[in-house]
Order: sequence, then C-alpha cells, then structure tokens
Amino acid sequence: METKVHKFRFYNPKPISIQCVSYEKRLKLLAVARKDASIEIWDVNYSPYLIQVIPGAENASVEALAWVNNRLLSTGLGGALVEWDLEYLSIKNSVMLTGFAAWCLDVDNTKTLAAVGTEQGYVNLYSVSDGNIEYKRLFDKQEGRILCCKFNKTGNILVTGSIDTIRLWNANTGHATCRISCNRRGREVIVWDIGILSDNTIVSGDSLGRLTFWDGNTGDQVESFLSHKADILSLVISEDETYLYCSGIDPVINMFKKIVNADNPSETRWVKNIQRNIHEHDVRALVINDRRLISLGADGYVTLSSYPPKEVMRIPPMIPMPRTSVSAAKKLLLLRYNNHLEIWKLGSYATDDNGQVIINAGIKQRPNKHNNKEIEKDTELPIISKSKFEEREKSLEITEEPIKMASILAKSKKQILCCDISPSGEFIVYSTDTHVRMLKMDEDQGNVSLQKLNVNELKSCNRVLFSEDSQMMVASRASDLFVLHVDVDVGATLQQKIPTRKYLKEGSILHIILSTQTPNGIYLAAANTTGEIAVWLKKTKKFEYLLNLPKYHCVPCAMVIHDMILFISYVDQEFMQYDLAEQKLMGSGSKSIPCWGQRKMAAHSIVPHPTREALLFTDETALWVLDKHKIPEYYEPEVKRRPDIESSSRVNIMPVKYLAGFHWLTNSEAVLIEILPEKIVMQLPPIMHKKKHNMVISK
Amino acid sequence: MAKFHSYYVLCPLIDQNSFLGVNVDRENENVLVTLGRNVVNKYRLSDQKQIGGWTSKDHITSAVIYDTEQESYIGVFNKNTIKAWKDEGENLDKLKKYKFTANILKVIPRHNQTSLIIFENGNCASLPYGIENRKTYESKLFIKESETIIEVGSYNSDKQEYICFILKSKSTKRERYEILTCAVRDELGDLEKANVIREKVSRTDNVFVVGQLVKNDLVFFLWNDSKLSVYNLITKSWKKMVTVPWISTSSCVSLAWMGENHLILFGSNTDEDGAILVAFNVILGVGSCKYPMKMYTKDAKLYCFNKRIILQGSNHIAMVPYVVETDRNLSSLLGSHDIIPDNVTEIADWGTPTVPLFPVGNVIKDLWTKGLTERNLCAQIIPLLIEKNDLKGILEVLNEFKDIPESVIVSLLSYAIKIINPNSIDVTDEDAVQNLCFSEENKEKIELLKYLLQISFSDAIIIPHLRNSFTLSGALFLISFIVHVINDLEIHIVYESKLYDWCILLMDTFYQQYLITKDNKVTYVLDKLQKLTVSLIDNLNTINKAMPVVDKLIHGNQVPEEKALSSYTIELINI
Repeated sequence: METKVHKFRFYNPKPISIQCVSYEKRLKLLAVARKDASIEIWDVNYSPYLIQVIPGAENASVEALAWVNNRLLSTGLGGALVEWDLEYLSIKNSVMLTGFAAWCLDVDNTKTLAAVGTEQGYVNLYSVSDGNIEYKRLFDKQEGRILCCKFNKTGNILVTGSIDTIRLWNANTGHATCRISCNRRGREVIVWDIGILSDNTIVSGDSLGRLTFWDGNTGDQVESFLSHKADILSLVISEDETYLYCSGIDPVINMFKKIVNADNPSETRWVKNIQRNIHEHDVRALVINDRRLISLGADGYVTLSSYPPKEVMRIPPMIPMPRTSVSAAKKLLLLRYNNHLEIWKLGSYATDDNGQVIINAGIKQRPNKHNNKEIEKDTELPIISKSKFEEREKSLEITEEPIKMASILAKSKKQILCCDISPSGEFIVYSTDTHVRMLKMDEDQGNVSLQKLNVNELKSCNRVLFSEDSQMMVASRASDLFVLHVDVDVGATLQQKIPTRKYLKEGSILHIILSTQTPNGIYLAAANTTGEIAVWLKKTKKFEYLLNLPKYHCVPCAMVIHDMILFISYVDQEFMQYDLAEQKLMGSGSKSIPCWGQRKMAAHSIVPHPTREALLFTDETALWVLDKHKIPEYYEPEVKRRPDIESSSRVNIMPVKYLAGFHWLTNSEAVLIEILPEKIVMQLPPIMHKKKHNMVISK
Repeated sequence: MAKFHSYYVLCPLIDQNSFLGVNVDRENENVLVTLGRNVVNKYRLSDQKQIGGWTSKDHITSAVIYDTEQESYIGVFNKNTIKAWKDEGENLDKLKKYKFTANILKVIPRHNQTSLIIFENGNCASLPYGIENRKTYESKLFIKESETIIEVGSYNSDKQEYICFILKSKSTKRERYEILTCAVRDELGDLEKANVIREKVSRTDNVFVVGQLVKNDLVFFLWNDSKLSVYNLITKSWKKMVTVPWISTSSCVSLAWMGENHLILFGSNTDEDGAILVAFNVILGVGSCKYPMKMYTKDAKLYCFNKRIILQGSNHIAMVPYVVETDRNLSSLLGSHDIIPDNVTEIADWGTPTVPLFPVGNVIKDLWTKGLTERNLCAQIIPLLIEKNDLKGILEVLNEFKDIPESVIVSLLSYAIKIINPNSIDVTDEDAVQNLCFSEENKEKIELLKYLLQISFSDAIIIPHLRNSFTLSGALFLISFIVHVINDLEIHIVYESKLYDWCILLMDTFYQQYLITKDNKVTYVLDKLQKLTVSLIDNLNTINKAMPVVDKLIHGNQVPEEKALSSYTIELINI
C-alpha cells in the first residue's frame, strides 16, 4: 500500500559558517567551531557522526581549537584560553592571555605545550600536561598580530605567521631565531596559515594566493607557487609529509606532492598535483582523515572528499538530531531552530465521495538544477541511481495548507539543546544550557495559547523525550538520567534519578530511547559517546537496571526498541538486533545485506514500519527501507536485472536531498521534512570569490 | 537604416545571356533559379545549397514560378507551351504540354490568386482560364507593333485587380516609355479593354530613362540625370523627383524593391570603373547604404527575397543579405540632406500652355521643381500655414510629405496643443481630458495631433526644439493624451511603439522640471504613465512566458507541467 507522505519544506534553519577546526588524530575526533561560537564534536572514525554540541553564546568567538588528547581547548577574540568540559558541555577551566584577542592556538606533538598567538604580538606558552593549564612563558613581543602558529614535530621550534612576516622561535627560550620577510614589492602580505616539516622547511599560505616553501634554517625562499587566485586560508600537511592540501577564499582545493629525485634522494621538490573544485564558499579549514580530506568553511558543510576514488560527500549544516518531532494525534510538527521552536499543524488532502484520495495527474516535481556546473557533485551510490522508487510521483490535492501555530523563542535567546512534543500534542519541552521549559499548548478554534508549566529538579538536559502515553518524560544530563512524571496541572516532577556511571563508564549520554508499553513493562535504553549501551526496565513503578549490551568498537548512531527487540545502527554501518525479552544478541544483519556496506552516511534515526516487518533508516541524503523478508515482487522493476542487484531487493532506497526528519503519523501517513540544498545556499553569505568567464573577480 | 552584409555566390551562371530569372519557391527560404534554356535549379538561401532541380529538352523561355494556388511549378517552353509539375523527381519532358497559339511572355505569380499568363501581344489571362482556352485565345495585338513590354506588375485597388505594363517603343529616335494600366477581370484574368489607361513617361528636359520598376501600385523611373520619379498607379499621379546618389546613370541601372521604403539599385559606379549596389530610401530621398562591386553587368537581373538581394553577376548569381530599419536615427541623417545643385535649366515654353507634370498645390509646385528635399519644402511651407491658422492646409501638406523636419514637428505640436487649448481643463480630471480628447468639435485638431505623433523623427535633434518651444503644461497634456490613445483606442503596433518613444522623449526633455516642481499634476500624470508602462511590461512578460508554450503546442510537443517545487505537497510513495 502506498503511503501518503507529507513533504514539508518550510523548515529552513539558517546555516552557520564554520570558523575553525581541530582534529584529534588518535581518537579521530573533529572539533568544529561555528560562527556563533558553538562547538561540535564529530566522530570521524567511520561515517562522520556528530556526537556532541557545546552551545554557543552571543558575542562569543572561537578563533582556534586544539585537542590535548581527549581535552578540548579553545581561544578567541575574548582573549582567554578555555578548556571545555565535554561531559557537562560547559567551560571547565579558563585562563586570561597576555596581548588581548587571540587568533591562533597550537599544541605540540607530545601534548604538553600550548602556544597562543595574540593581537598584540605576544605568544603565550602554557603547559597543558596532567589535565592542567599552567602559564609557562611569554615569548618576546613582536610587531603586529600573530595569525597562525605551529610547533614542529619535536616541539622545540614554534613558527608563527603574521602580516608580512614569518618568525621561528625557540620554544624553550622564547627568543626568535629567524625572521622571514614575505612582503612582495611593498604589497602587504598576510600569512594566514603556516606549516613546518621535519627538515625545518616552512610552508606558508598567504593573502596573495601564494603557497611558499622556506628554508627554516636560513630564512630563504625555496619555492613559491601562485596556486590560488585569492587568499589561501588553510593548508594541511600529511602525517608522512609527502603531500599537502591548501585552499581558501578561492575555494579550489589544490594538492601538492613531494617528488624525490630518483638519482639523488636528498633532492626533493614540491609539485602541484590534483585540484578539486568542491566548494563555492571560502574554505577555512582542511583536515586529512586517513584517505579522506575533510574540508570545511563558510558554507557550513562538512565535506569529505577522496582521490582516488574520486568521491565527494557533503554533510549539510543542520540543527543536530533530534531536530524534529511530531504529535501524530494532533498532526503537529515541532521544529527546532538554533534558538527558537516552531509548531506547525500539517495540512490535509482532498478525498472524493468514495473516500478515495484525489491524485493530481503525475507531475514530477524536480528541484531546480544547481547552476554551477563546475562544482563537483556529491558522489551517488550506484544503488541509489538504480532505486526502485517510481519516477512518477503522485501528488495529492491539498485542501488545507500547513499552518504555523506558534513560534517559541528560547529563554534569553539561548541555543536550544533539545526539545520534544508529547505524542498527545499537549506538552512541549525544551532545554537550553541553563533552563528547562515545559509548555502546555491549547488550541481553541485557531487561537493557540501556551502556558508555562513547572519542571522540578531538572536544571538543564541534553536529551529529552516523552513516553508514548505522554505521562512520563525522560531526560539526560551528563551521565545522569532523569525520569519525570508529567501532569497537566502540576507540571513535571522528578520521579527517579538514575546515575549511569556504573554502567556507562565513560563519556556522556548520546542516545536515550523508550519502548512502548510491552508485556514486560517499559524499556529504557541509553548509549554513551564511547559506544556503551545499557538497558533499564520499568515493570511497575521504577526503572530497574536490566543489562548492558556487549560493547561494540564504535559509536551507535541510531537506536530503536520495537517488539522488545533493540535495533542499533553503528557508524560503521553495522546493524545489531538484541532481543530484550530473551536477553540475547540476535546477531548482526548488515553483512548479509549486500549493498548495506556501501552506505556512506551515518543513520540518524531508525523508524519501524507500522504495517510491515521493515525498518526505515534515515540519513541526510536518503531514506533506506530494510525489509526483514524479501520484498514482494511488485516492487521490482520489470527490466532484467543483474543478479547482484537481485539480492539487494530487501533494501529500498529513496534519495531525499536533504532529509531533516521522517515520522509516521498513522499506518498509511507519514511526514518527511526536507531541506533543499538551494535553500541552504540561499541563506549563506554571498560568495567572496567569483569565477566569471575564467576571470577572477574578488569582491 | 540599411546595411549590406558580405556577398556570397549563390550559384555559378552557365551563360549570362540565357539566364532567365529567379523566383521564390514554395518555402520562402528557397529560390528557383532558371539558369538557361534547359536547367532549373532549387537553392536554399541560408546555406546556398542546391536542394533540387530539373532539366528539360525543350527550351525554357521564361523564369519558372511556383504557383501557390495550384501548388505546382509552372514553366514556359518554346514561348508557346506551358507545363506544370509538382514534384522534385518529375521528368519535364514527359509532362502534359499546353500549347498556345499566341506567344507567351511570362507567367507572373500573384498574391493569394491564380498566376497570370502574360502574352507578348499584351494580352493576359489567368492560368486555368488561359489553359482552357489556349487554342482560341485572342492573338490580336493589344499593344502597338513598335512597342515591347519591358516590365510587368499587378496591383490591387479597391478590390479590383489591375495589371501594369511598362512599354518601350522604338519608333522614333528617342526611346519612348509609356505606362499602361488596365483592369483585370476576376477569375478569367483577361483585360477589360475599355479600361485601358496609358500614361506617357516624359520630361521636358533632354533626358532619358535608364531604369524602371513596377512595385505594387508604384512605378519608378530612373533618369539619366540621377533623378528618380515615382508614379502612383492608384492616384494616377506623379509624385516627386529625388536625386539618387553614388551611382552612374549614364548606363542601365537595375532596380528592385527592398521593402521598408527602400529601393535597391545596381549600376555602374560614378567613375564607371566598377559596379555599385545602392540602397535608397525613397521617402527621405537619401541613399542608405552602398556596396561596391567589381563588375558591372548591363541589364543585370536584380531581386530581393527573404531579406536577401539576389543579383546577376557576370558568371554567377550573387547573394547579399541585408538589414533594413525604419527608425530614423541621427547617424543615418548625417550629411544626407545636402542639396545637390540642380544644373538643369528649365526651358521656358512661351505661348503654349503647359500641363503641370505634378498636380500639387501652387505653393509647393515652385519648390518642387527646384529639386528640394522634403525637409526643406516643409520648413518653408508649414510655418506660413501655421501663421495663417490654416488647419486644412496643414493636413493636406502633411499628407504630401513623409520627411518632416523636427523643428516643424515641434511647432506643429505646439500649434495643435494651442488650438485644442488644454489649459481650460485640469489634467488630473480624467473625464475632462477624456471629453477634450474625444469630443466631436475637436475631432480635426485631435486628428492632427494623432498624425503628428506618427511622424518619425530623430530624438537627438528634436529635444532642443522641444525644450525651446514647448511648455511643461503642454508636455503634461501630451503625455495624458498619449496615455489615453494607448489605453482607449485600437492602434497599430508601430504607432504604439512610436507613442512610447514620445513618452520617453517627453520624460527626457522635461526631466529637471519634473524633479523640481512639486506640482500634483506632474505627479499625477507621471503616475498615470508609470501605470501604463508597468502594465505594458507585465503584458510583455506574460507574452514572454506564453511564447515557448505556444511554440511547443504548434510543434505538437506536449507541454510539460513544470511546477515550481512547492514547499508543501502530499505524495503517494511506496515505502
């Protein structure tokens, strides 16, 4: 039976540009700071998956980030070096710097020293070993702001870049050992990013679009490439120092490779290798993640590319999951924005006298083609292109358009961390980093009234959700779970606080899910950022610890309990089933599903199909339907198919660009929230660097 | 105003003496070239490719035509036989022959009617009627024996078809030319002999004709003193005489009609060491464009089809694409109004009363004969008439001329506005303006104003005149008037576009006044104009959107219902 899918495209949160990035090589964690000073932590071990978000604040700035093992440091125009508490997602420690606003930050290889470059030309050196931040030394003052700094591999040399100048410092004494002047015929040159190789060769990217290699011992220029038509903002050197990437306001990404002379191995040269055209906006940061290059910038996308094979994958800038929720009973849709919420009532379709839906003749709606042909498109999975979804969409006649019922601004305009709407449509709850608010919504003939309810004993939370009967609410904060009872008159009162440290040993809680009422009671499962999963069961009054699942080596990206079976999808695309009633692992399924391994995106939710034994996996670009059994014949296209695709018939993929959320309303009705790429592009700042008839015009 | 593009060779010519002519094929794009006695070829003008052709054992004696009514090709063989065929592959020797007793001069196609067979003796007949009665057809001479038909044309006046011959007689020493017109009966296509009119072509001076052309109701003669005279077949009057530049008129000149008031002339250049192709604007009496060529061919056949000039060269047929524009701009007028000194002295004929050659008003007559351009004439005559307040006279004179100097247009406009007297009403009062513009008593004055606005002009020249002698209130009234005309009357598109030009001009002229005054009237009138313009733009946009759809429908393509991606849809999807 066909599902009536409400395609909802009114949800267009403003994308926020990425300001700076830091990559932890060992844990493969990527810290991403956006323009609004929020910091996201992505797990890039497998498919990139956002695991934590530190909310931003008004007028705050993050100009540079650095990892000290699993500790995260940041600095910005506020002039402080900040260490973040990744459990409570708040500031753990902060020290004031000398020299006002800070522009750059680097931590040496041994993770003991952190250098910060400041506006007034001071380099602040701090010792960061043993979980502390201790002032160590102030380098000699130099003229002009320090825009970038890098330690060499041994940590005894620091190289800094500023306007017209590159300096080498002895990190032990704080004295400059070499000064390189890089202005060109009197023109001011800003050194935006710098790198240093083991042989003391310095690589700099500057505002003229030049990539220059310097001899760090003598200060002589070795080689210079005019590789970009506008400023180079970022460069990244591979671990083995054989290749590097650079990009910037001219968003072309150029790769340079080190060539060793076969006759004379001591003679090396850098040559330009490949060029990738995958961004339209400024590229602010580049990260080499194994074979992939991660590029980030003003467009807010996290873009992964590789060569060979030549592939591109873009993760659009979106509000972190869970970003949408529905009340199926009242057909209400709750949308989360950065600092406000919107509640929409969904529209309805026309039916004829026999109760049959009226179908508007097959009009295929095609999104506008992206007009920039030069930009590389996202690599599509071969199976998606052979998708069995019908080309011809049948759209229904709409009798009622959706209505925006309310828009709720978060208290003191703070960033919202989580929100939910109760299945009954009565309650709405959201949390910022300091407040939890619960509102009761009444609708009387189009008049919407919102009434504040009390939430006791819960200051803030990172995850929140209502139970199926709307009478219970479960929230998580750091490593604690809170179970609250919800009442129309009293509000939410704490029923039970579950400390999870015993079962979930590290990290903070990433997912919490509740089952529906089962013969055994209600199950509650929680997963943390290191991949541990624990389950509690509420038989009568309180949740009791039931079991811990065997630990898997990576982070779960989505979970659901359906028919007393816990389904878990991991970022490496592995997919587990655990029978909670029998308390045993039913095994993993993904290996037996041929095309499953080709998935590139991490699933962000699993939704059971209401009428079939099937599960729906959503990610940003597609909706994957996995049937327990082979899909009946009528799904198969009439044309002859190759045998390898034949076996994939348990999977059905519907590409959606970009999928923000999918929820069932009834057995045959669902809502799909879609954000069109052009809507994201539309809200981005104008492109700084434009290519026109092969001529480059910088605005 | 006109511009020739570069010259191409359409096809080689086997023997230029036997070349018979070119005619349009079924599609405008193709032409039929009757190369000589035995060969007819079809060429596509766009790429000069031969796309078909026939050969015949019989001699072809006149250019083959395509008859749109019978949808077939018609050829004249051995002067007395007509054959008709339809297809490419047809063998001309195996066709049915229609043999006539009288010799056929040529067959001419007519617009939306049967073609006419023209006999050498001056008779004619429509194609089907002629073929039916070919045995019995009158062979009596209709023209004098000394006369030959050198040019044939048909035209239409008052729903009556006429035929026009230019006859040349060699009886005396000097060649004499005569225009013969005669009504043609419907269906039968033969001459109504009671209705023959002969008009002698002569001038008092010792000059002779070097080129002639019949185009619809106009007959052009080019004289050896570079003067071009035009005879209007409907009004039966000689219109005027203008001087053709750049071309030598001592030898034969070929003429053809280019459209948009332009003639093309091909003749020897003034140095007589090569040839020249000239586009000549007959209304303004100025040469628009010239194109030098190497070789002059006497009596070269010259045609103009589908925006291309087809010209017979010495050993090939040439093709010259061109562009013509009617808009008058400053550059085209530069240096074109020099008066060429007229060296011909008028021989006074004492005693015998002379019949004036040009039946125009007395005032104009004297000036005419001096060979002055229309501009000069107008500038001399009209101010006098305005002074006399002679509205009828003005209208008459205006009808006579097409090229009116800008200064005169402005003074006429001021005059027209003065006599309408819009100061009596308030331009913001819609009804009053309406009454003023469409009342019976003002009818003639309004007609004058409407006519004035149709006259083409050069805006660069007119602006200073407008600034000098026009008032702001006059301009406001004129804008309101134009808005009314565009809104309320059904007018031709060319006129409408001219009215918009006038609006732009009036905006430009009084731009600063508009800015400075805080008069409500100004705001009101400009607002009205803005609304009109916006609605025009909207309409144009609608047309713009509709055009591709209509085009698709015409070509039988299904119009895809491209719907913009709406923000909310409910779709049926198999999940």
